[in-house]
Amino acid sequence: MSFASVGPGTIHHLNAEMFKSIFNIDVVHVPYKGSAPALQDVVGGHVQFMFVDAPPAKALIEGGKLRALGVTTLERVEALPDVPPLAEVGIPNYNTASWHSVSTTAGVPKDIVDKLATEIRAVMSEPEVQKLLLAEGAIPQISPSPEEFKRYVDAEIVRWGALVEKAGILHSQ
Amino acid sequence: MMKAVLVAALTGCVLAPLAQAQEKASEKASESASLYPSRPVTFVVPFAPGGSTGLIARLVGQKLEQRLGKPFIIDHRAGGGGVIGVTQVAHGTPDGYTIMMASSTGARDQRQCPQDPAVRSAQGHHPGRAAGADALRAGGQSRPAGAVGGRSRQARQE
Repeated sequence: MSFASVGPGTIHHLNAEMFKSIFNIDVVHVPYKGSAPALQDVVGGHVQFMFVDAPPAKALIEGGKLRALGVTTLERVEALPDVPPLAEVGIPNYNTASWHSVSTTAGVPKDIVDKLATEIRAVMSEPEVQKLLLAEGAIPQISPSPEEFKRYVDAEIVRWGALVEKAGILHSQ
Repeated sequence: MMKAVLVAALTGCVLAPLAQAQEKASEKASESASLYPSRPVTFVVPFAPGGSTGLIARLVGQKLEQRLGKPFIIDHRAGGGGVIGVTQVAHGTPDGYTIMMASSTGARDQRQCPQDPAVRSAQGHHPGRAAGADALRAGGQSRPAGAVGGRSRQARQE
């Protein structure tokens, strides 16, 4: 048995490692360069399962090509109302999510970073953008305070750092 | 036969500089923000086409294009679970014309690029300052970003 991922060390890979750890099962990791090629092989039956972001999987789930076992968030995902949170179907407190951000090269002038950040905030605040992201299976987020954000990041570091160590992921890739 | 997929949800966008390690260089800004962007911006997606990172980058890039009047060109740089794209951005000219749709996994532990000083400087310094937190102070959005700062911290702890 094997599972696909969008790449070694990705949060999707780490979710699968956590899954293995919870159930104490040994499954072979097959990394791909993104969700599209990975999903292709899951649909083709070459690998048996994967953790993947909702947007690229949504059409395949709706088309009956994939069976969604659960979402990793505590709440249901609006675009996939029939898919239960894993926390509700046997893995209590399971609560993870991948997230996206825009980064740029270190040393970019602060006023340019500020301008881009302001524009991105404006883009993400557009109702049309939020509606599109929700429809695709994403969850648009409004920024909390920097302090709250930092706490979130710190918590993620502790959580995933422990798993990375346990799974020996850094040394195996 | 139905195949199994466990679905992860995802969140919004924030702008975060990869690191603050080159802050002094930024003081030599050659272009003021009021003129930015004066030419197309490369928008790196560190995964293959067809995934959520590209989807969100296209959506955000298109909107930025409308708002700022210059093309935001999506450039897929897949491989190594994001390492290829991150490395490209880390090595880019720090002028704001190369940005990246990073995911929670787009930033790597420096040990995955142990020989790369740019990646090391981007990820190994200022462990207490998550890049995302700085960006949020700058007016960004949502709880994402910070994986660069985050991983660096993790690397230090190990």
